[in-house]
Amino acid sequence: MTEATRPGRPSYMPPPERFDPEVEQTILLTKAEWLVDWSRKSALWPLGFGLACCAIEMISTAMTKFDVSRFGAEVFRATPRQADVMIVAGTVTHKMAPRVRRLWDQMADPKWVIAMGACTVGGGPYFKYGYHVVKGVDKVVPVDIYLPGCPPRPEALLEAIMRLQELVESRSKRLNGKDPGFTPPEKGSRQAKKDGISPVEPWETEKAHKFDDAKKKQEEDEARAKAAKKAAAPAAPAGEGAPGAAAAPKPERPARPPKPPETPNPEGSA
Amino acid sequence: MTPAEALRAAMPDAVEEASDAFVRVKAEKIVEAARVLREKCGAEMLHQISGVDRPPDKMEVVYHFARLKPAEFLCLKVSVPRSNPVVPTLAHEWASANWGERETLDLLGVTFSGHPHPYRILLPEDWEGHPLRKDYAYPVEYHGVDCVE
Repeated sequence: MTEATRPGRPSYMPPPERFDPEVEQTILLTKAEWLVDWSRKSALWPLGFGLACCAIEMISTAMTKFDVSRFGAEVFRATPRQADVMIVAGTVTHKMAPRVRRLWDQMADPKWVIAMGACTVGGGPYFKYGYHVVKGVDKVVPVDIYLPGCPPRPEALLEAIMRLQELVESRSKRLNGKDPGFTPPEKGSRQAKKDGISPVEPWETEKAHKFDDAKKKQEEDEARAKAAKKAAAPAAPAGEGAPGAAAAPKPERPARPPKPPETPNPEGSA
Repeated sequence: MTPAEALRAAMPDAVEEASDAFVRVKAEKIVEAARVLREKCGAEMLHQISGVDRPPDKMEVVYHFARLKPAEFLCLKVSVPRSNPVVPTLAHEWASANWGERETLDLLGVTFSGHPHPYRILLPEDWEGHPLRKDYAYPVEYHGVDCVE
């Protein structure tokens, strides 16, 4: 079984580059990938990119007390072209969102994004009434690490960087066919059969639909017949189309009362 | 001399309402009233301009002046109809009024006639509506990014 047809590999992933099996099994290829990722994870260059109060914690993380250089991520670049990881620290507004996207577009591959703080994870305190805030920066750029907190402590940012290092390092492992993350096998595949996963869910089968429809029709017919009997119309057939059958009382759900409008704050000021 | 006394003496027909807290003047007389406040009461600093939306038919613009010695805050208010909220600008007298009036324009939609740069200051230029109005409709989508979760 080749890597491309390996069950469990999502179809949207391109097949990995393959070489002659003999070459593939040499130590050199594996070790080179591992070495590249190992060096890459220990030299993450973040983009110095602060949008709000989270940036203060990011700056604090870079300073001597927390010292992000222990993890090799202390080289904050002022240009996206030299950066590997974008730490989106702070509230992303709709006005700022195109700039965030452009910065991400300008970064060279491989690149990663850490969404730092509640605002970037999902809107944060502006979730409901923040007309100007993007409800999560993942609506604008793909995010690798979500880091909640308002703002997160520097220790939390260090944790996020360590998780990102794990992610970077896992690339070579993925290439070797051992995906560290859980990927459910595709339905109907050999692996799924092996794992005892049904190709179709019970409620997706045709049988289930038919059974439900027949039962429903039967119940409806019975109800119609009963109503016809009650209306004292012995000649009327108990099938559909009988005008007397329409007298079946159908309990109608009362309409939900409209939600009362929220009383606005009487003193609104700019 | 308190602001109410000064304004009553200088322009009696422009004062609509006066108390210790604030003086409400006619909207078209705001520039003269502010000038009187500076000359008679020593209001040297205009440190904030805010706006209030009074939903049925009114809008207010509130000017917060400050006198430095002795320290005191002085407050002027004007009321304008909600259908056509236009107030003369103070930007030619106080440079700080420039941005304050632009913010009120941005968030409440009050127009300041004669303003040197009457455009939005905080929100993008193509934003629709004025968010601090009571009847503001929240946007569903802005430039391909949806605004609701």
